[in-house]
Formats: sequence, C-alpha cells, structure tokens
Amino acid sequence: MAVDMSDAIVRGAALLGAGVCMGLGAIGPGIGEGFAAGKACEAVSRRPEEYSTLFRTMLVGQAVTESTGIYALVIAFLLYGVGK
Amino acid sequence: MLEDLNVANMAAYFGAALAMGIGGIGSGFGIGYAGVGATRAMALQPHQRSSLFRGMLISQAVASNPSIFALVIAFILYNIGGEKLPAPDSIALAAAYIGAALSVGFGAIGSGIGNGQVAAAAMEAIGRNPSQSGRITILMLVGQAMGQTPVLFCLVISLMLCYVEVHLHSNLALAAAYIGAGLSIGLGAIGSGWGNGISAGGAMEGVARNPEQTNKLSIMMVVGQAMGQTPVLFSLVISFMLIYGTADFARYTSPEQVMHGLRMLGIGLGMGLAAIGPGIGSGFTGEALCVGIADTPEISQKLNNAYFVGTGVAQSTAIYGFVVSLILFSI
Repeated sequence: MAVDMSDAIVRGAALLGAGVCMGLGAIGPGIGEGFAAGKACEAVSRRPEEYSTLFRTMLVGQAVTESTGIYALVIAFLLYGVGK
Repeated sequence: MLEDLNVANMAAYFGAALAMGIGGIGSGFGIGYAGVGATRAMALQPHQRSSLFRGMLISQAVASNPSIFALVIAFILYNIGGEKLPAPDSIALAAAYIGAALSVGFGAIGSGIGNGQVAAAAMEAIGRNPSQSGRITILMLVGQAMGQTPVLFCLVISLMLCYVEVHLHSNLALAAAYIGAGLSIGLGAIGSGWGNGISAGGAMEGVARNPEQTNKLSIMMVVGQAMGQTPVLFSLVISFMLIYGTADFARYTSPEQVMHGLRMLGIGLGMGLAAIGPGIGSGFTGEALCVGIADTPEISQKLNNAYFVGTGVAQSTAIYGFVVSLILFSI
C-alpha cells in the first residue's frame, strides 16, 4: 500500500503514542502494586491470624491500583487502531 | 547534505559521551549510599570501625561495576569514532551506536543504585549485629552479583549494536529500530536492577535480626531477585526482535520508513518504560518478604503465598507492555 508523507507521520505518531502510553502507564501501577504486596507481607508477619483478611485486602487494593494500567492499555489499543 | 557528513563517526563519539555520562549516574548514587550505610553503622558500633571500612570499600568496588560496563562501551565507541568506517554516512549505523550508548547508559542506572542499596543495608546490618558480619558480607556479594544481571543484558545488546552488520544504510525505519532496541533493554533494566537491590537489602536486615534463618533468607533473596528480573527479560526479547526482525525493511518507501520508524521507537519505549515500575515494585515486595521471614519464620508459608501472588499481580503491567509491543511489532 502506498502512503503519502502526512498520512505516514500521523499513523506513525499514533503508533509511537501507543507504545509510550502503555510504557508510562505501567510505571505507576507496577511500583504501587509491589508496595501494596510488600505492606501485606509486613502485616501478615505482624498478625498472622488475620492472614485471609489481609490477603483479600491486598488483592482488592492491587486490583484498584491496576485500573490506571488498564486505562493505558485501552488507550494504547485505541491508538493502535488509528495507526495500523 | 547528510551524504557529506560522517554521521556514523559523529554518532560514535557522541555515543561514547552519552554512555559514560548516563552510565555514571547510578553508580555515583550507589557508592554514596554504601558510604552512608557504613557511616551510620560506625556511629552505632565505633569499635567495628576497621571492619566496616573494609566492608564499605568492597561493596563500593562491586557497586561501581555497572559504570565500568558503561566505560567499556564508551571506549569501544570512542575507538569506532576514530576509525575509517566503510559507510561513514550511514544513518542506520549512527543510530546503532546511539542505541548502544543508551542501552548500557540507562541500564547502569538501576543496577548502580540497587547495588548501593544492598551495600548500605549490609553495612547497617553489620552495625546492628556485628557477630554476623561474615555471613552478611557473603550474602551482600551474592545479592549485588544478582543485581547486575540486568546491566549484563544491556552490555550484550550494546556490544551487538556496536558491531551490527548494516545493509540498508539510509533506512530510517532500521535506524529507529536500533535506537528502540537500546531503549527497550536500557530503560527496562532500570527497574529490575533497582528492585533487586531493594529486595536484597531486606535479606541483609533479616540476617541481622534473625541469623538462624540465614539459609531460608538467602534462598528467598535469590528467588525474589529472579522474580524481579521477569520484566527485564521481556525487554531483552523485544530488543532482540528489534535488532533481528528487520530483514524486510528494504521494501518500505520513504514515507513508510517514517511511519514504521516511529512504530519501532514506540515498541522500544513501550516495553522499556513498562518494565521500570514492576521491577521496582517487585523489589519492595521482596524486601518485606525477607524481613517478615526473619521476624516470624513459623509462618513463612503464608508469607510466600502473599509474596508470589502479590508480585505476580504487580507484574501484570509489564505483561501489558510486552503484549502492546508485540502487537505493534506484528503490523
């Protein structure tokens, strides 16, 4: 397929944007979820009898933290749809 | 215009500066951390001054390793810059040299800081429990060695980019692919290198708190560091694909080269940046696991469960980055 220069720049920028969007969007959830899991380990070691509550709370907290990562994934797919 | 310039030689010289300049950041921080840890420990245990001083120097020597890798690449690029290259006007070759510099430069940041954090934690642990200084020193060296795996991956990719065989000299897409390969592994190694240092620091603290659990702690330290290196392995795969998956770029017309070049940069940046967060996050989890095992060894099974599930979830965003990069690659 033949593309002219302006079309190529727009589509290339969308694809670059998809990558950068997913990359930057993954930093926060990655650090945050690891931090949450670390605090959960700390709490389990302090109060082992509350293990199941702590484990559940950790997973819910991580799932909520994950939401911004999923937003980035959705936007990356939208941009991919523009550029492909 | 560009044909009259020796862009490849210029890029090699610039890359030498870039590699050493960026590559020195991490070890600078790390060596400083080691000094901070040793000074704090000396304040607690003034009579252990000489052994702490010795330990500080050993740990600082290891923590300066990542910047030595950057120095090696800087020397190689400096030599290439002075050579008479077969294609001095090659944009792709110039990009490969810049990519090599970015790879080892960024890669040295994480491992340098991480190694310093292990060293600082080890010195403070010796200050807290001087009777365990032998065990702590050995564990520190193991933790630092593991923490240098990410920068070794970067060194491999940098060497491949320094001696890459280019056939499409003026192809912009190929040039961008080489820069993307360097960015993917370089940025990706920041997270894993740093995170490995944080989790090994927890093991040092654990040995000082509960020396009887040294065996379990050393195993969990290495397991935690291995888990923390999953993101950088994704980055390594993407970097290899960007270097070797470029055979059919000759068919691109010049507007298509611009589009696919931006796509290649997107792939590299996407995977590289996405690996930073999960790598650091895994480190926090590993640190808490080691401290928890030292405090309450009787529930280590529960701690392991929480650790593995927690780290697995924390790495999901690195997997998203990997998937997005693979999809972008397959267009």
